Amino acid sequence: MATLTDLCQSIVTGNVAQAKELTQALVDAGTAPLEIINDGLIAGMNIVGPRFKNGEMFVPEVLMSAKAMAVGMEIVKPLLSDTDMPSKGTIVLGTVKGDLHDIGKNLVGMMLEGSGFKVVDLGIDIAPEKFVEAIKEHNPQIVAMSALLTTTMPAMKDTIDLIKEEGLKVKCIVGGAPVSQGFADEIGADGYAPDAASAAELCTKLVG
Amino acid sequence: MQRYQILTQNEIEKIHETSLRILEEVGVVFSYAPAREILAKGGAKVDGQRVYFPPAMVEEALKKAPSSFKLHARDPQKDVVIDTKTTTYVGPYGSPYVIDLDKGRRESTLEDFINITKLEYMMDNIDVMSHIPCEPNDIPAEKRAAEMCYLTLKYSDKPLMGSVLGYENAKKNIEMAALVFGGVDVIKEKPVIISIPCTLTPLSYDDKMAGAIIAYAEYRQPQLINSLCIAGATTPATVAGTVALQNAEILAGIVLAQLVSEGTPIVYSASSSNAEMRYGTLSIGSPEDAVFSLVNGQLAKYYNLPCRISGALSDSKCCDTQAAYESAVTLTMAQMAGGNFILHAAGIIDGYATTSYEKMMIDDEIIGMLRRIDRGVTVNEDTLAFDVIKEVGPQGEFLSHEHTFMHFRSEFYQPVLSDRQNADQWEKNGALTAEQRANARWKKMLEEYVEPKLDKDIDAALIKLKDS
Ligand code: B12
Repeated sequence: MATLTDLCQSIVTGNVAQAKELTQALVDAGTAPLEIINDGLIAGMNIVGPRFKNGEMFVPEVLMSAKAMAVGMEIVKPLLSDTDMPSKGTIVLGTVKGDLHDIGKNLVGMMLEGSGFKVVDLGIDIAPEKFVEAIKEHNPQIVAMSALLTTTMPAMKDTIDLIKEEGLKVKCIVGGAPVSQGFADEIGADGYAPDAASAAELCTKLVG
Repeated sequence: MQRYQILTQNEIEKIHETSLRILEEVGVVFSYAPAREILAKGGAKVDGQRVYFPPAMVEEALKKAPSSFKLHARDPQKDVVIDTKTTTYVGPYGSPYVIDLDKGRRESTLEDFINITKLEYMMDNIDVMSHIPCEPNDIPAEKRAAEMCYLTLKYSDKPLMGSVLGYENAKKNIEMAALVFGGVDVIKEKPVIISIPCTLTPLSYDDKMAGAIIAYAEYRQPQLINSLCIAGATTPATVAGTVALQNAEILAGIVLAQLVSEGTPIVYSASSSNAEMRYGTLSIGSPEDAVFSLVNGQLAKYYNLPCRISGALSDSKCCDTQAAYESAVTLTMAQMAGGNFILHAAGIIDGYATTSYEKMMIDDEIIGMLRRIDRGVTVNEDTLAFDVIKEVGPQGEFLSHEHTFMHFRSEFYQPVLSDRQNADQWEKNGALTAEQRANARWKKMLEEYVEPKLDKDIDAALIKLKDS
């Protein structure tokens, strides 16, 4: 008999095949979908998060856990109406105009997904107008920008300025190696985080 | 000279074959249309932005690049030969931050740029000016490339590197350097500016870098076709897989350069390292970085091309013990690997993001030590010194002997920073740590700096071209 504890464990160990199997078995056995999500899938990620933070787990392991959770979600999702679906919110993410660095941004995206956000990743070299377009289309709570070049950091300000000009209600956060809290304050961003794990914490705080 | 072979010839060939397969079956994205046109004309299969290379086309191009060339300096005594045997050391490159003991870490400015340029010029161990030892963040981005080129030419008479930020910036830098040497026609047979266009890993080239490759090749100026892969992030976590992919990227760039201009000088350039999986960040002070250096050195030798390897590398956030031991290991391996153009040979910490003033001096010492090791040992009658040994005999001393007087300077390296006094003397002289002595040394260098002469008319012409 598949149990929620087993499912939770398969998320922690990043066993994608097992997570899929157990989720299906629990569904077939009549376990409530919300229970599967909260006490199985998300419960697993709630163990993974702190373990990553204190150095017991590493990035590829966390990503595999996130993948295992996503596979389970895919099975449960159709059984729930949109409003029942627990989601912390939507985040539009992208690397700013002129900048092609995307490793950090991708990592942030995966962490955000892992902690329960819906992430719309626009990619690299994203102009302010493109961000604005995506905000209008996806209605996110947060827009997250990444820049790795001092020469492209000003594009973050341009984007925030345009978002304000358009009167869009969305929180803006920034990050990337040369970006700092000071810079974030200076350009009127709502938040900054130095790494992917704290980016997830920041977003959780901002929507909470 | 290569001193350490980490792979067998057979293994190197396997990597090469895998790279050829990647080029033929997976392909490389070139977003820059002019590059795709050149490659298509040269025999590559182009599908959208993706370019597929037949193996014969790659092998052909590899044969055309020379294995040695001379890079000319404003002062001809400082000309540098770049080949597959000697080692050229080059300063830090690209950091948006600087740090020193007095003012701490900060965004670098024009003042820092000029200071570190002067230090590169003053340091005997630095052979080529990196042209961007830190970003002059207070200069508008669109003016930076020309400004940095001008300032490097003005404050130093050593050979220099140039901008790779797109075809136009590259072209202007080349023309500026050419001005000093008698014009663009002269430099075609006389390389004066070297560059480092970089792949957008995995398996692509952006507009700027492909444009730069074309510009430097058109003027037949040397370029380091470079790939910086992050094993486990942009490439497989296995060293072999990363190297196969990285090599494919580099070969694609070499093909493009040779198609633009056959025989244009190339330095095989690789600086891959691994991801720190606790954070997903790049780690450069790692033993894997050193392993990559060794493999890259062997691959370049296999292609009979000069080889760029980095450097005195560290992930530390300041100039501390971690910075020193990581740098000593990585720089030693770069030399053992047979690196011929060692970029980032001084100053780098923080995964390439910060240049440390003090570490410029620490690394100067490491380079000095490596240069001494590189010189090796001379064995002849004079150095074997049988007659001297016989003369001094048992229980004698050599300190006052003429043979010692004649030889110690050439045999022993004289440290510029390390402390070798006795403890009492050291205390009397202020009990300074290496970092503190480094701090004093770079300040003294800046005080003693004298600008090399630059012809007034050339200077005026340079300024005019820079501002045009
Ligand atoms: C890898 C790399 C590249 C790769 C990028 C591959 C890719 N697919 O992304 C390549 C080789 C292509 C590249 C190209 C260039 N690069 Co580069 N690159 C780097 C390097 C070494 C590491 C960056 C990285 O991926 N780190 C790993 C990730 C995981 O860390 P991260 O990005 O910092 O992200 C973390 C945090 O910052 C944060 N974060 C990131 N984004 C966000 C967003 C939000 C909202 C939040 C909250 C948090 C957050 O979370 C992440 C995870 O913890 C850095 C040096 C460095 N140490 O930063 C130079 C560096 C950034 N590059 C630099 C330069 C100069 C360039 C080039 C111009 C080089 C050239 N001559 O070719 C080109 C420019 C291309 C362009 N137009 O963008 C300079 C920048 C100098 C400056 N003026 O700012 C650096 C500092 C290196 C140097 N000394 O030269 N680069």
